Amino acid sequence: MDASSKPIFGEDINKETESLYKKEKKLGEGTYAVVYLGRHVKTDRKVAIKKIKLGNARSGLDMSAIREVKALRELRHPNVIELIDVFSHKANLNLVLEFLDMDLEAVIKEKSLVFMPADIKSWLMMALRGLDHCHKCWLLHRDLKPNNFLIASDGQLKLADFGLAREFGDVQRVMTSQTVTRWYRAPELLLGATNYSGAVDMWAMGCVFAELLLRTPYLAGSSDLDQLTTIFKARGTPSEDEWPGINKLPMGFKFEQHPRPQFSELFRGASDDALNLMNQMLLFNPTDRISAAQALRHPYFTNHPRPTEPAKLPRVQQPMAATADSEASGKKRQYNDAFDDVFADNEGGALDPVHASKRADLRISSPA
Amino acid sequence: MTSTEETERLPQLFEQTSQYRHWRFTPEALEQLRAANNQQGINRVLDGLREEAQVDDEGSSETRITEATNNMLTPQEELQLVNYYLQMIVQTITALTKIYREKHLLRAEAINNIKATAINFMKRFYLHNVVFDYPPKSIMLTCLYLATKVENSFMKIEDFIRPLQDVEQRKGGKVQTKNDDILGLEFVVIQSLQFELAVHHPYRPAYGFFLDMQAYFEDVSQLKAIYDRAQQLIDTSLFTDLVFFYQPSQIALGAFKTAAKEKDIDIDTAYLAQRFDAQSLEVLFPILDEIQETILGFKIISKKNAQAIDRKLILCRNPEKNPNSKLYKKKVADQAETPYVSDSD
Amino acid sequence: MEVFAPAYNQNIPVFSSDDDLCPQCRSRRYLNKQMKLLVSPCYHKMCADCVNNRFNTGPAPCPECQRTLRKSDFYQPVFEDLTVENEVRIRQQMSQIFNKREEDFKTSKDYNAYLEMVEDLILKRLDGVESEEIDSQIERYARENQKSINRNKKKSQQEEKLQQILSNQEQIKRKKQLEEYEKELEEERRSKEEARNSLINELASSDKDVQEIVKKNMIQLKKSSLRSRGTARKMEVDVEALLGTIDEEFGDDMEEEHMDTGPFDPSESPYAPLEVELRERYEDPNPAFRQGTLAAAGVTREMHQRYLLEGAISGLFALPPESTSTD
Repeated sequence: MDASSKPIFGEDINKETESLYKKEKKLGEGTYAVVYLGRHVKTDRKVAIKKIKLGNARSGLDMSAIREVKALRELRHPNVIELIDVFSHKANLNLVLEFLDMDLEAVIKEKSLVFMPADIKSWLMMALRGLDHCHKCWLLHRDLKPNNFLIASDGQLKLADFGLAREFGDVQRVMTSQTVTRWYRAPELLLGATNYSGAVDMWAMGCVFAELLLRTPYLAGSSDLDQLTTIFKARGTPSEDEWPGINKLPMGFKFEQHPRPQFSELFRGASDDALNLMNQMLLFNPTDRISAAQALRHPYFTNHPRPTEPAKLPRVQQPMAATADSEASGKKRQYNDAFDDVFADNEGGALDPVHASKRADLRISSPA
Repeated sequence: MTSTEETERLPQLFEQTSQYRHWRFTPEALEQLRAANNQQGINRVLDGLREEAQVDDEGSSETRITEATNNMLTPQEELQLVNYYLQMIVQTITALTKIYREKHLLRAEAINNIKATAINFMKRFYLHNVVFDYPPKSIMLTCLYLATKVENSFMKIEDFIRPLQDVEQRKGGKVQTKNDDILGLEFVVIQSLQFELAVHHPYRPAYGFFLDMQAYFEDVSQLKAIYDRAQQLIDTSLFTDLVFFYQPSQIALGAFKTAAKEKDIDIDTAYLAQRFDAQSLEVLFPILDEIQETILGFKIISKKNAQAIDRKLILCRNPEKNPNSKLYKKKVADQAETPYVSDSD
Repeated sequence: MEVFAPAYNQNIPVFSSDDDLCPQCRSRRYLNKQMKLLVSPCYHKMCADCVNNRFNTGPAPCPECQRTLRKSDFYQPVFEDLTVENEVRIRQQMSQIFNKREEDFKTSKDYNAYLEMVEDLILKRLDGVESEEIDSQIERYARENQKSINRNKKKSQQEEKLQQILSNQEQIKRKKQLEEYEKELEEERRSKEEARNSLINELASSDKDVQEIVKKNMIQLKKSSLRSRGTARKMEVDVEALLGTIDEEFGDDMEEEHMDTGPFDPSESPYAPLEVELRERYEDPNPAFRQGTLAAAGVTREMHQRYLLEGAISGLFALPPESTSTD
C-alpha cells in the first residue's frame, strides 16, 4: 500500500476533500448558515455549499448540524437531497449538497402558475417516495413543509433540511414534542407526546397536500396554543372513540368541541380519491393515519390522471438568492417556531423543570 | 427457457449505510492499515522533533530524538493503548451515569448506545490517526461527548464536564479537564470519522432475536436469561474488531449462541435450522463460530500494561500536535500573525 | 395451537369416507368422525393425532419412506386419489410462475412453444425425473422473469377485480331492473284501474257518446304502457354507460401495460423490500407499553416488533468483505 499517494490521516483527508470544491458566489446568508454556489474542481459539477457557522455554539458542534450530517450520510434516494461531501474549514462545517435552486413553497406562492391535478399528484408521489425511504430507515424528518421540498432542474422533488431528523422505533427513548414547524405539527405532538412515529411526518404531508390544493397553508395557527384550536375548527374535535387514549397524552384533557365540517366544500375541485387520501393523512388517531408506504398504494396514484412527468411540472424562475436565503435564514424562523432553544431537544429535557413549565404554557383551558 | 428480462438484484437497505460501505475490512487489511499509519506516524514524529530542534534553542534535541526513536510504539502497542482507553470509556460512563441521571441529564435506556457509539468512534478514529499525534486519553472524552450528541442525548458541555472536574478536585485538588480540551478536538475527531456518524450496534438485533426465538423455546424465562447474558457478551464484543468484519445482527446472534452454549443449549438446532434455510445457514455458521471465538478469547488490557505504554508515549509524542510543545506554540503564534483571510475563500 | 395448511385456501369440501384409515394408529373414520387425514409432501397419509404425536418435538422421519419432515409440512388433501392431488398442486404452483399470456408473444407459434415447454416441465416434475435440475431451471426462470410474472399477476388480479365489479354491477342492475319492472307493472295496473274507474264514472255521469268516451280512455291507457316500455329502454342505455366507465377505469391501466411509457408503480423503490412476518404474540417484559401513552401517539407494539425484527434480519446473511478489496 503506497502511503504517500492517498492521505490516510483524518485531517489530511479533510484537507483533500476541501480542495475538491471551489466556492463561486454567495447565494444567501442567515444566522445559521451561508450558502454558496460552488463547483467540483474536476468534474465542474454545480453544487451548493452550505457553510454552518459555529460561532454561537457554546457546546461545540451544534445538534442541528450533527443531525443533518448524520442523516444525509445514510440516505441515498432519488427523492432525498444528496449530500455529496462534507469538510470542515477552520471552525466551520461545510456541507456539499446537490444544487437545487427551487422549492415547493415558492411554486405554491407563484400565483401565475396553474396547478393541474396531475401536477399535484406528481409532487405528492415524489415527496411520499422520499419520505417512505426515510421511514424504512427508521428515520423521522420532523420538519416537513413546502419550504423543505426542493426541486431540481429536471423537476425531481427532493426532501431537504434534515436538521431536526431523528431515529424512531426504540420505544424507550424520550423525544421532544417541540418539533416540526407549527402549522404542520401533528396533534399528538401538540398534546405533548414524548415518543411517536412516522405518523407525525404523514400529518405534515397531509397539510402539504391540502396546501397544494388550496394554494395557501391549511392549518395556520397563530401560536402553539392556537394551533390545536385551529385544527379542531378545521377538522372537528376528535372524540375518545375516534382517538382512544387521547386523554393519556400529557395534555389531552377537555377541549372546545367543534363539529366535523364538510371537506368537499373547502376542497372544491379535488377528486374524491384525492380527498380520501388527504383525509387519511389527517386522521387524528396516529395509529389509523395512513403511512407513506400505504399512501403510495392508494388508488389515487394509479387512477386517472397519470402524474405529470417531472420535467413538465410548473416551475418558477426566480433569483437564486431568495431561495438560499430561506435555506439559511429559514433556520432562524424555524427555531422560533419549533423550539426556543436550539439545544432544547435533549433527552433529559422532558424531565427538567424548565421544560415542564414551558409545557404548562400550552395548557388549554377547558370551556366555561 | 426465455432469458434476460430483468436480472438486476436490488440492493438491500443495510448495504447503503455508511457503516457497510466504508467501515468494513478484512483482518489483513485492518492490520495493514494500522501498520501503515504507525509507519507514517513515526516519520512525522521524527520530522516534528527535527523541526522543533530548529525552534528550540535548548540544545537537548539530539537526545530527545534518540529517546523517541528508542521508545517508538509498535502498531500492537498503539492498539493496546487504544483498547485500554476503550475500556476506560465504559468505566467513565458507568461512573458518570449515576450523576447524570440524578440531574436528569441522561436516561438509562440511552447508555448502551452512547457507550457503544463512543467506543466505535474511538476505534474508527485510530484507523485514520496515530496515538503519537493524539493520545487516547484526550480523545476519549471527546468521543464520549460527541457520542452523547449523536445518540440524541445532548448535554451542555458544562453539565458533561462537571462530574469529571469534581472527581479531579476531590483527588488532586486541581481541575485539569477544561471545556476546550474536549471541544477543541471535536473537529479532529469528526474529520477522522469522515463525518459518518450513524453507527449500528448489536443491541437492537439482539432484542429482535429474543422475540423471534420465543416460538422455538418452551421456557421464555430461560430465553430471557440467555438474552441478558448475550447483552453482556455484546458489551465485550465492542472492544474487539468484530464490528469491522461482521454485521451487527450477526454479532448479536453470535453472542446469543455463546450465551446459550453456557446453558448447554445449541441454537443451531433449536432455532436456526428450523427458522432459516440450509443454504443461507451455510454462510452464517462459520461467521458465528468466528464471533464466538473472538468474544470468548477477549482479554482485557491491564492498567499496568497501559501505563507502561503511556510512559513510552510521553517520549515519542509528536510535538507538532502537542499543545504543550514549543513547536506547537510557535505555530499558533505564526498563524496569529498572518493576515486575516475573509471567510469567503 | 395447531395450524394445518388448508386446501389451497379455497372452499372445496374435503373428500372423506367411512373407510379412511390412518396407517399409523389404524383407526378408521367410522369410529372417529372428526379424524383428519393429512398428507405429507412425500404423499404418505397420517391422521392429525399421529402427526402431533410424532412431530411435536421437532423434525422426524416419515414412517413410510424415512424422509425428514416437520409438523408444518402436513396438509389436508382435496382429492382422494393422491396422484390427482399431486398433479393439481403442481399445476397450480407452476401457473403462479409460468403465467404468460398469448398477448405476451409475437406469434401464436411462440405462444404454443411456450405452452409446450411448460407442459414438458410439468410432466417431468410429475414423473420426478431430473428433479434438482428442473427445480433450479424453474427458480432461474422465476428470477429472470420477475417483472413479467408480477405484471401478469397484477393483470389477473385486476381482471378478477373487474369481474367482481362487473358481477356486482350485474347484480345491482338486475335488481334495479326487477324493481323498476315491478314498479312499472304496479303503475300500469293502477293507471288501468284508474282509467277503468274514470271510464265507469264518466259513463255513469255523462251524457256523451259512449263510443267516444271509451276511445278517449283507450288512448290514455296506450300512452301509459308506452311510457313504461320507454323506461325499460332507457335503463339499458344507463347500464351501457356504467360499463363504459368501468372500461375507462380499468381498461386504460391494462392498456398502459402495452404502451411504450411502460408500467407505472408508485411504490417503485431502488431498494429490495425488507419484510418481516410478525407472530400474533410476543412476551416482552418491556415496561414502556404499560401506560398506554405510546399507543395514543401511534407507537404500537406491532411497530416496535417490526423495528426489532428488521434489525435482527438485516444483514444477517451478508458476507464479510473479500480479501481482494482494500476498502
